[in-house]
Amino acid sequence: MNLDSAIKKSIAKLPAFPATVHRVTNLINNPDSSLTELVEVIRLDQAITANILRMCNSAYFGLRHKVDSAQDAIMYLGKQNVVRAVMAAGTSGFFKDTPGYEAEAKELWEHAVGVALLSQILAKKSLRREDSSLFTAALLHDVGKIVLGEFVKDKYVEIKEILSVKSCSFLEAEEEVLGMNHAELGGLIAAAWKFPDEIRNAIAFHHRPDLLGDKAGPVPWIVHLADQGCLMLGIGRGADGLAYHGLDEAMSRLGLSQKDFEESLALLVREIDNARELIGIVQSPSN
Amino acid sequence: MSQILVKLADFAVSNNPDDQLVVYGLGSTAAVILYDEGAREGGIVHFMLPNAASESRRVTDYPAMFADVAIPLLVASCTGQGARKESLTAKLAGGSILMGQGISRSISEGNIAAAKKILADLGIPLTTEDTGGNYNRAVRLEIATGKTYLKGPNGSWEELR
Repeated sequence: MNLDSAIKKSIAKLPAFPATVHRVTNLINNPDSSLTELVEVIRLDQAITANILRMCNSAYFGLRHKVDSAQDAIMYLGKQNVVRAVMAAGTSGFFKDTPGYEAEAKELWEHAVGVALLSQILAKKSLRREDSSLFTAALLHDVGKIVLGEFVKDKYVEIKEILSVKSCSFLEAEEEVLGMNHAELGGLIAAAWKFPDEIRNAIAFHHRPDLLGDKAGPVPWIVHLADQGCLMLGIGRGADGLAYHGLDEAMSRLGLSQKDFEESLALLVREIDNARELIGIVQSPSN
Repeated sequence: MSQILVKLADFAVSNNPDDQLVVYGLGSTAAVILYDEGAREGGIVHFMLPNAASESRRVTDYPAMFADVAIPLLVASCTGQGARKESLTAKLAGGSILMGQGISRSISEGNIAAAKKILADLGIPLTTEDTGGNYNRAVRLEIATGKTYLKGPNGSWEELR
């Protein structure tokens, strides 16, 4: 079996994406759905309920009262935050140590949460709204690394040599040695998990949103810029470091200035401090 | 030996010879490491933007976020605990740059340039620096000796002289 098919085959070994998360997203996007339906779906999933309650009581959501039931959590959080909490609770379990990137599960998850939070900050500035598809895409943008980690580890010497000789990006080195990069693989995983095209594309093209053309909309560009911001701030560290190309046009595409970007980075530090409970869901090396 | 972690947009000072101050995750951000050999006291600040004017509202909450506020603050904290300003020496690390991106370059290079200018204005000699590139760094200061170690792309700690 060649490397390319071995990598693709390993997608099949990933556990299924939690059905609860898809059900919640569908309910929230359906204006006819009721709060009771939402509560029922969430309550059936004990792991997600427990994580939602932990997050609900964290500083990030800033609730005044201690919340101890799924129903109260949903009442207090509001729909957008329910999606975030369910998404974070449902996806955190996939994050594990990725040997090839020398990243612990906690680092990778902290980066994922950081990019998700920064994407919302940038969306508020650029689009004047938050966006739950964007939150999902941002949270899962590096999901390909979870599968690719083992393969990168075996080929790390080769990748490193290419990086130093050609001074190319980590993405190009992955492609040359493994036949695919972590973003492309992430897109395949998102497809296997039956995410809509917008989310799949934002994951698959998070380093190259320009390849999607003009029809892509802002989501992939925001994920790209949020990823760059977190790499710059060292939020979630790996062997790939900052060896990626940043696209200057991201700023003009989103109508943001350098000052907007710097303000967003500054805001992110506070949000990360408040989101310690979200980040604490994943603990290395137990996952 | 106890390790004190210096987070992003934060700083720490110590004169306890058992302490080590550590910064992980230096990307485009930068760390200034100060040490007074006579007082055996030192500190590290981990800032992320060159200039507080970019986000002045955030200064009260996170004074160590901006080089122009953070470095004088670190100096004041060191002297406040017994170091002599004229005995302080500085080291500088960080300022990595994403490939081909102007915004990252302006923040990274801005951080490094701001640190150098502020240290020069304060009359504190910069003895060594390890900056630029496109990889993450970590730095560690041993209070007992003033030795500073840096972890770069090859993953091992090496003394920053």
